[in-house]
Amino acid sequence: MSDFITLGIESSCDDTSVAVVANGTKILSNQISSQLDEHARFGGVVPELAARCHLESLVPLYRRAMEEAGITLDQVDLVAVTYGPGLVGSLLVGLSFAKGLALSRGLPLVGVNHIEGHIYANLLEHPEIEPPLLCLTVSGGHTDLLYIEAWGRYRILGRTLDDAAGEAFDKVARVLGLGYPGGPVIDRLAREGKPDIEFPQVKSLADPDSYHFSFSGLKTAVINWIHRHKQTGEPVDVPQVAASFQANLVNQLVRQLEKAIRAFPVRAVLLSGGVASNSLLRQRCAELTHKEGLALYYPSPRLCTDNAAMIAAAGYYNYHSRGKSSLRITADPNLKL
Amino acid sequence: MLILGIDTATPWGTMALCRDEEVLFEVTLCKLKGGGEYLLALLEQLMDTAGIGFKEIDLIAVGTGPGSYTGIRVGLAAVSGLAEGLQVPVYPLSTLEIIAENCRRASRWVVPAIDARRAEVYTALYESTPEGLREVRPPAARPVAEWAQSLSDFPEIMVCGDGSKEYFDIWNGYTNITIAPAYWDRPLGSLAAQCARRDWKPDSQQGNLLKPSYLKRVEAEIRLEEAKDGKNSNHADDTGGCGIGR
Repeated sequence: MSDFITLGIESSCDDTSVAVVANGTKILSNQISSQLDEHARFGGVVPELAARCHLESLVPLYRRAMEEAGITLDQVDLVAVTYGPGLVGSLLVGLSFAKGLALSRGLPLVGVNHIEGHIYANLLEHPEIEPPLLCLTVSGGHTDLLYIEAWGRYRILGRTLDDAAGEAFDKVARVLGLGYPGGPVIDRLAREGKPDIEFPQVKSLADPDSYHFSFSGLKTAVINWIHRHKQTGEPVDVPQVAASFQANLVNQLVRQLEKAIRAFPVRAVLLSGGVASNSLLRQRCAELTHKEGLALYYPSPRLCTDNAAMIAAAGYYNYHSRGKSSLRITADPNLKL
Repeated sequence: MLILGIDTATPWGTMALCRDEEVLFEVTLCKLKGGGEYLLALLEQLMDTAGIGFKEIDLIAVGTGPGSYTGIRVGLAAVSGLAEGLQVPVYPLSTLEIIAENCRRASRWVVPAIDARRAEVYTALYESTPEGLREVRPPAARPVAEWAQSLSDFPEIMVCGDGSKEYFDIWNGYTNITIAPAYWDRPLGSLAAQCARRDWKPDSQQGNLLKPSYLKRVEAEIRLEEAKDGKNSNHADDTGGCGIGR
């Protein structure tokens, strides 16, 4: 039997990506064009600029992906595209291109939830993963704790009630003058600092019995602490602040995960999303899962950030369980799992 | 020759299929939800109803703007997808030219004007000739009042497009300017196809990437430059909250 080829397209935020994936798990090409340099000078993603960059990059990436995979459109069986959540102007570029391509060849189109894509990123490197699982998706846009009963069947146990974890990283990094994106640089500096600052925090919004997260209180406490020190002329030890903030944030993530492990009969824990690259988070999750006798999976850094291979993987499984999407599918910037 | 004409840059999303001079179907929808996202679902239905297969299309003509940034991108991305799939050439043309084509037989000098807000229009000046439209002043975003004043050397001008109604009082102050009837304000898919049939040369654009005609830079970039020049420093929060922190 010949391979089932899925073309994946991703343009939800500031990375444009086109991928070719065989049988849902084997990457034949995963082309990514990052706009990081374009947005760095603004300290964050500028939506209009992002959308312009997507349109410019998409066709060259598509051609390169097909060439690297060594296939023609005749061999493609499915077009999978992110339709949310994300920036609406950016989503529309990928979605419109995918629709045009699918329509011109009579190919089925399947819309993919970006967060679901991050979960499936794990399958690209570990096709052996089997539910039931717990999945912690942590990125600049999302912080979700999911219980995956079977592929395609999720229960959202908890999500952030305010800022996403990655957003908190970026905002603290900005106030510390560390530039954008904040995650990797805080992670690096934190290794040189002692996590011993106790930030005076307002009570977290999240009910202690729930699985929800809340990072805005921590973020504000850290930013106020920095401002106060600057105003009174006290020195701000940047590595110490970075380490203390990071430890605090990771503690909250791990605490909720640990509670969920106790409550749900799972085989393994998945980490996904950009913040899954954070070294402290990985270390703490590895200690926890080791103690509980569970497997831990996280994608390699290239598959942690936004990419179309994970969209193709999720699209492949969705198509086979739920069928194709309509051509009337629209971009949904606030799409939930 | 079977030509598909599309433009989604203005509040009117338009699409037509033409065989030489004959219009096989044409649809124009005002204020299409989501900047023309439904256009391809509609195209599928129209092709099906007309009993024409996508493989029969020889050429796609598309308006590249100016107009709504999102609208421009939806149209160009969709056309890029269609063209890659069908392996057909694309003829890109200015949305202003498509609108001006409405008035080509009615006036020697034609000024299409698309409302660009803040008393500006996206506009150009064309001369009607038996061969087609000749660009006299290129597409740009211009303040309406100054632009209208600068056209006073031309004896008879027809101004069309939604900018001709939005700034009616300004245009109406010039005796050399005639305001076109409202049904000439829209770009039409069939006019895009007509321009392509007339002006497209084989292999002139094949395989090239489509370039959007925004005519304005991203505001955050302008403000950043102004801040550097010390005019303004209040730009820091023009960011979306997504994908940051990886």
